[in-house]
Amino acid sequence: MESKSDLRISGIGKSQGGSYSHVRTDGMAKIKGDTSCISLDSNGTMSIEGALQSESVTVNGTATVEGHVNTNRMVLDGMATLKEQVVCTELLTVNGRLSVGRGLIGEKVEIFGNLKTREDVGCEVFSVFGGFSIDGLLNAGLVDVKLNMPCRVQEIGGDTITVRRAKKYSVIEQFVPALSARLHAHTIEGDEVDLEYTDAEIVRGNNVRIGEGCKIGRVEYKQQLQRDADAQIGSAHQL
Amino acid sequence: MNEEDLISKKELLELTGISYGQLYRWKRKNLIPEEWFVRKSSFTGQETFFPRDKILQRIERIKNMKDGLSLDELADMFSPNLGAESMSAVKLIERNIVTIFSLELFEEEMGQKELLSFNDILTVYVLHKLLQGGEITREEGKMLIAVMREHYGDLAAKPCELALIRKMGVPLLFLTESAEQIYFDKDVKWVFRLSLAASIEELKLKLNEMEA
Repeated sequence: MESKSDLRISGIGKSQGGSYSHVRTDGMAKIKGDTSCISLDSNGTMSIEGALQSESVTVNGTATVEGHVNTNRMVLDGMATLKEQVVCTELLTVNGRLSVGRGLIGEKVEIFGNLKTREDVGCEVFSVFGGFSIDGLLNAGLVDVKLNMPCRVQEIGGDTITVRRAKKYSVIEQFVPALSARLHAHTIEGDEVDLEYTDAEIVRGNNVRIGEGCKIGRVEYKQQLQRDADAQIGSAHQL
Repeated sequence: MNEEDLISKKELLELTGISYGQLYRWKRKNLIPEEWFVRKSSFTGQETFFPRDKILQRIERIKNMKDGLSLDELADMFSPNLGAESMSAVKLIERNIVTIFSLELFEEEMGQKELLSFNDILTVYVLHKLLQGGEITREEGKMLIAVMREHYGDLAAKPCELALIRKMGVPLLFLTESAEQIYFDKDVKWVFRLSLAASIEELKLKLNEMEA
């Protein structure tokens, strides 16, 4: 295989897309076209008007990608807007804000900031220490949420689902309920479901624990149901 | 799709004995196609339903095969994408995947080939199935080869159907993405309809079995 050249932009620069071995941008960079590379390292502001394929992606600052993103590893420190489908086959770490215009497919997803997607999320491990908003189904083997901000999702489905609260009640939350660190979902289905501070219409599972601060419309369980004295449950049915 | 042909998620889990975790894992691995998840409103809000026959058959298959194969290998088998395998004509005969008769017909049309691509193997396999079932004639077999060669690439990754109709003895063979909503006048007779995705699945199974 022929070796490919690197792309470097420092200061303000524009470039065409193409196939590179390493891409590094410092400052304001605009890449016009589909880009494929081994690694992409961006500091400052970067925008790609096309699809991005890269083994590893690191973003410090802000980044916008118009097309599909396909990577093995991605670390986002800052703000990223990815307007199409995102596939990240190994590890996705979000330390800032990530907004995805379509869906997200990954292996391990770690959110220490905020994730927003317009469609479904599918991965093996989904761990959150922050907040998320997913307009669709969150489908993961392990869902581990430490609530720190308001979280919203339509449906959660998976093997093990755990929702905990990471911080104590603050004063603001008492006055503005919309800002309280709670999980809002329509349906939660899993084998092991363990919830705290969750609002859901329906929770279904084999072993279900409804902990403090929960408001659940209907619980359906196969083996056992543990409920906290503080939890509100509309109706519970053993199948 | 009729109401009766659907099965609710709850009923499905009860009937097959699988758990939510397994169902979602299989969905993640694309063992169950996205379009089988039919959302309908019900008294609890929204419920997921599945086409009954398809999903029950698929889950039975997954349960039977998952010990021998990894989930990714299974996903590959169920995907309508073409496999990468190619095989020599001699081997196909040896392994009893196709008959000499159908292969000869194929070679008559396409010329002799040392190595058959997956697409070619599929064509011969479908040809073999239909000829053996007595559903098509040799002439119609030639039409089949032509239609598969010309158009299959366009439809490759989609679940498509192969169908043959006759009107007053005149055959018409076509490849369609969905034959659900096609209506002909009463003189037209459906001779057969064949889901290519199912044939690909069968064929991949056969090719794999032999390797093991």
